[in-house]
Amino acid sequence: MKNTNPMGNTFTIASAEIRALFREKTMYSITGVFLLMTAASSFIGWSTFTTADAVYRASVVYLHAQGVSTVPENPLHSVPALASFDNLIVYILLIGALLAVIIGHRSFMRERRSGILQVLFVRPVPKRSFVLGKILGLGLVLFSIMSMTAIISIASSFFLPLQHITIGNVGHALVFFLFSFLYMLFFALCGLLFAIVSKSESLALFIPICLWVGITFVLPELATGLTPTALLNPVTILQLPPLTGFFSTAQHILFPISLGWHYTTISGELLGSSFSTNLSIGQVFSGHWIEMTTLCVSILTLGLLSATALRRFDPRGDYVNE
Amino acid sequence: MNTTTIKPIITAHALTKQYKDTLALDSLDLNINKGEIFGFLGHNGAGKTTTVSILTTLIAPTAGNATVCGFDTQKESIEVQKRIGYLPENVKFYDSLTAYENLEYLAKLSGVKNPKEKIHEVLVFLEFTGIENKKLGEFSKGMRQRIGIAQAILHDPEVLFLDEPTSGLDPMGIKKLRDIIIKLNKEKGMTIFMNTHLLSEVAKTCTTIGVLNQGKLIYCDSLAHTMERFHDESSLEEIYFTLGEKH
Repeated sequence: MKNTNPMGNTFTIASAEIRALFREKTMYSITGVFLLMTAASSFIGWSTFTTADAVYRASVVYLHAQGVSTVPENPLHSVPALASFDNLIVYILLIGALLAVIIGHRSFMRERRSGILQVLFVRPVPKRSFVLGKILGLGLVLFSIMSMTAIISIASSFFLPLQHITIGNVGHALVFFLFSFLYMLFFALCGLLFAIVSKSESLALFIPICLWVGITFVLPELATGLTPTALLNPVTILQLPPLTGFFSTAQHILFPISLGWHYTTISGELLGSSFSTNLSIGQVFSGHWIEMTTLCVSILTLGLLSATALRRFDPRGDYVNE
Repeated sequence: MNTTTIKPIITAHALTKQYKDTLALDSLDLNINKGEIFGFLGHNGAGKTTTVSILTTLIAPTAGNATVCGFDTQKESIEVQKRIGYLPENVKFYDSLTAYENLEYLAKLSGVKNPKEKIHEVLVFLEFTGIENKKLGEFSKGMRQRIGIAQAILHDPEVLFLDEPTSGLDPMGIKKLRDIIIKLNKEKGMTIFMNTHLLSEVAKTCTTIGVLNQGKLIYCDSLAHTMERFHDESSLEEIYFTLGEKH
């Protein structure tokens, strides 16, 4: 009767987490917007390609009518196969990360709001199992969102004219979605941690959103010596502005933790849309092993901090303020 | 009551809790035997909820130690948690889930092997069937309190902690709760630790009482002895005030 199984508890908490998240209107709204934008991105990609192709064909007919026998090759042939995924990098950087913050925030705030923590915390469940269950649940929800995004994007890419998607391209795309999942998990854990440690609900949301703003906009600016055109766009700029003393120092200090920048760069290389195209998956990650290690260590650190914070959390009379 | 031959199921030794400038518990010593219904009396802020919070492992004491069922509440908290049930004051649940979903989740976390069967058994025991598929958000205070009792006894705990269980209940709700507490004690042999303000309920329910005043235990004895000792007092309320004045 009183047999307690730590892994069993973790799965129980994870499944409750998934059930609760999928019942929330906020979660549905933001996920819906994200998936709609993914679908819109696919449509825009298809529309752009179709229009460009139609213009090329019309031009060829016109040139032939003018007596020009040699026409240039269709420029769409030189467009990277996964070019239509470029918009997704921006969407994940902006909406995806924000969605993850909100999911992580609500994951623990739901319990704080309901006041059930006193009843939960007298159960024979170690706090680490509780946090692990939460993270597992959050991870599975994010994974399912990213899977839906992947299915929509990959399926639609097969309908693009003149784009021959190979198995290799699909592999690159899948690794890009896995990498994006890790990036979103980082923000979900930020939301979870601050939902545990913050005194008020507004502060619990405000701090991770500030972090998101910092990681997405401020750090890349400082760490790259102000190259705003390359901030959200995975296209590598050809001419860097000269570094002043301040930006040179900031670059050395902030570059390793500039996760938003690393996400954009690595994603661009995975999708073959940056200038260093045609890299294998291994080459991409071996070229960015420090950045990948930084991301993984950050995720682990946030998980450990959440477990430590929960151990010190006093659930009595914890009715959070709006 | 022969306290020398029975090993206490709940003990507290020099239990102290300091919150910044406030001393909530001041070297509390307490022994409660198995099978008792212990009524813990005291005015607001006396330290009753702090005591229960330490005994239920929710918070750590600043000094001293406590055991429940022979296990230290801090060093062996999981062992304690396996053996206790707890009904906090103003118990809360997931309002968007049904009564069954709430109880199933809590039963699984308590290690109950067959939650469905156990939930049914507990609801029958509490005479509270037919509500399983209703969402908790639709429940009255009295109904929530009974679901609160249900979640606390799902895993057949040896000790049940109740913090102001009658708070906010109407007279009928109070009577029902009193009957449940006595039934749990008599039929399931549970030791019950109850924080309360209602002295009349203590007189009707408890076998032992303790009075806490400004974090100090100023009185602890069986209800029968108490009535004998204060024979010139007409009610338990007067005994309570008399004790308070002495300290």
